[in-house]
Amino acid sequence: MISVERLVVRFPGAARAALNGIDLDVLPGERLAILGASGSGKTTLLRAIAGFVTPVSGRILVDGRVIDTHDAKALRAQRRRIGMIAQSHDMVERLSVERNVLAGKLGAWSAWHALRALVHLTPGERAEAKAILERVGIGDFGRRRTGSLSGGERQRVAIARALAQNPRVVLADEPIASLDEDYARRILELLCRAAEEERVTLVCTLHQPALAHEFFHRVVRLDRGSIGESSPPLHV
Amino acid sequence: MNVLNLAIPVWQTLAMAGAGTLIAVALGAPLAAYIAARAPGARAIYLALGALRAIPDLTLAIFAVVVVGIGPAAGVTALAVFYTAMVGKMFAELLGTVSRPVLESLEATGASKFSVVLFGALPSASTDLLTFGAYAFECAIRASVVVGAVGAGGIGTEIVGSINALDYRRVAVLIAVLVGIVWVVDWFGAQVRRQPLLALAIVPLGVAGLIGSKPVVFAAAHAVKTFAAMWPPVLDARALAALPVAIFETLEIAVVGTGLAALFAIQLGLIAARRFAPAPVAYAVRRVLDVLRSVPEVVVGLILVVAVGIGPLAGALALGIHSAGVLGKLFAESVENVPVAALDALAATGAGSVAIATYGGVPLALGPIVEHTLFRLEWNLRTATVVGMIGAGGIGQALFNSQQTFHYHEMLAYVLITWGFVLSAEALGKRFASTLAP
Ligand SMILES: Nc1ncnc2c1ncn2[C@@H]1O[C@H](COP(=O)(O)OP(=O)(O)O)[C@@H](O)[C@H]1O
Ligand SMILES: [Mg+2]
Repeated sequence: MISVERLVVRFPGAARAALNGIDLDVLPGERLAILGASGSGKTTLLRAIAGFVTPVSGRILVDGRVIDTHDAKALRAQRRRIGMIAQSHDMVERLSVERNVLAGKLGAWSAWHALRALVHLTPGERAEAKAILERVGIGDFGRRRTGSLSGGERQRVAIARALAQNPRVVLADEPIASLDEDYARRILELLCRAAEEERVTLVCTLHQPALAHEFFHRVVRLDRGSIGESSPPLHV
Repeated sequence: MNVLNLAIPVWQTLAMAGAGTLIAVALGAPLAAYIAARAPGARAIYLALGALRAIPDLTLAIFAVVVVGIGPAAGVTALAVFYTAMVGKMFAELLGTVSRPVLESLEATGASKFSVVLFGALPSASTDLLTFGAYAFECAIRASVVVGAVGAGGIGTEIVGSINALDYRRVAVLIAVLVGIVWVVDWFGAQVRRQPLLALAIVPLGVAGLIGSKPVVFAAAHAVKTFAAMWPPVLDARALAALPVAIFETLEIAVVGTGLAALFAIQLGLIAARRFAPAPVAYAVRRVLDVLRSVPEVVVGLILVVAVGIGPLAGALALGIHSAGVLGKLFAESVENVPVAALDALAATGAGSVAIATYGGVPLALGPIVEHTLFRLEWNLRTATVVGMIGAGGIGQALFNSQQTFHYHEMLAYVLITWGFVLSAEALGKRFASTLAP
């Protein structure tokens, strides 16, 4: 589903490459965990897959098609298939929770549709947002202002947004950072269950080896921009 | 005096400002979104808006009066053009301040740049956009009085008419009304900063204004024809010979005006600061500064042209009086920001409050004082080109004369010269700002 081939990423002015020849294959429907210390390149790898970082060399294929950051139109089409849950789960604080969830559909909407949804949501859109929010356990939150949510609640909204997008691949960047153990477990359960139900390929970065082995088919370790030891695929 | 005689110009002034602001937002917002989305040509549009904004509002108005005809429609046209440039440029900058990661998270869904701007940047910057919209309206109110001075309707036109009719009582009443309006609008601006949605109150006013001033679209064909007839811009030999003098006069108006203003503002500012003078005196001076600021330069100029006669002196005094109000307030704030400890040290030597103000307040606040003065000089270089139009000499007067005598090729040339002059002043101002910055 995802093939990363000899990927090298170096940020302008950086002494060493952020990613130093990464080779990685993720199978359709696989749940892959990436462990690694801060600064090891986890975020950069996920951003490269979503086409936000242009590699120095090597390439990435998603669903058999190359991620080309210079072809804006093709890149947008690719991104529509990739749900991204960013590390800081960035959302439009000023907008209601339901609009942030429906933002997952922005790629499928025209700019006019986006403008209309900003002003007014149809009952159908409202119902759709509510149904997705129910799946992540915050069904009543639709009308609330996103800026007023707690960290864990935002994480749920970020997952809901990725689900609304109906993607083939979900990239989750440290979705359980700064959550307590109990809550972290619930978020991972939610994420993995949704991935299972939707038959989505899930790549998730995190810091906790125990949780990684418990929830994911395979665990790889990223160390200073290189893939280190890898546990074999368990069962896909 | 008949109240209705007053109500109509007041309404026209508000309506022109409302309609001008509304058109400016309606045109400026999509342009800003286009720029913020970095669509093809966005950079060029951004630069064009910046350049367009350099044509003074009164210059646009005199132009609009020829193209659209005397009356509020000309005022609305001039304000719409000027504020479209201002709103478009500023909205684009505000949309550009929205946090990158938030926009990236929306781009990650495969959304187009436009969708990202609409769904992400627009709501994120909404408070700033509304506040700036209200600020543009505040400026448009002052400007709508000013454009009236060349026949674009409203209080400005009334003031000119009353001066020509030697009815100074009516002039005084109109100026008092003007000060009142400016205060109400200032107050409105302060409310909007607290509750940004209040800015939407401008919309019904703008719509009413548009209906009232009979939109210019009906005259579009005529406007295009008139404009085409102005082309190409030409200055004859006599005008060319007089040009250096006109430019020098404009410079003189700006420099002398700013100098006078700074001189008075230092003293008024020290008294107005909540620090040295007895509270009631400081309060009274602050109110005086408010009045000075409320009356636009052009209106002060209209009166001075009668009082001291046509020529650059009237222009310099007009800029000086208005700028004294502006600088006095800014200087007072700068002095108030000087650390208390520094002044206490002086007080400990037994110095009186005049000595503390002079040897403590001024030197310690010198940085901002110089900066405000230079910024004001740049502003006055722009304004000096327009006070000329009401008889204060310089390029503005040459522009006005050519319009009055129907020399439209010449008039277009002066419009372009004014534009170039202001653009150079702005470029110089930027150079200053970058050398002053630490
Ligand atoms: N936009 C960027 N510009 C420059 N350097 C960056 C940028 N993003 C990440 N880096 C650098 O790349 C390396 C990897 O960072 P990152 O991928 O964020 O690591 P992780 O997510 O594992 O903590 C770090 O050294 C970081 O400083
Ligand atoms: Mg990271």
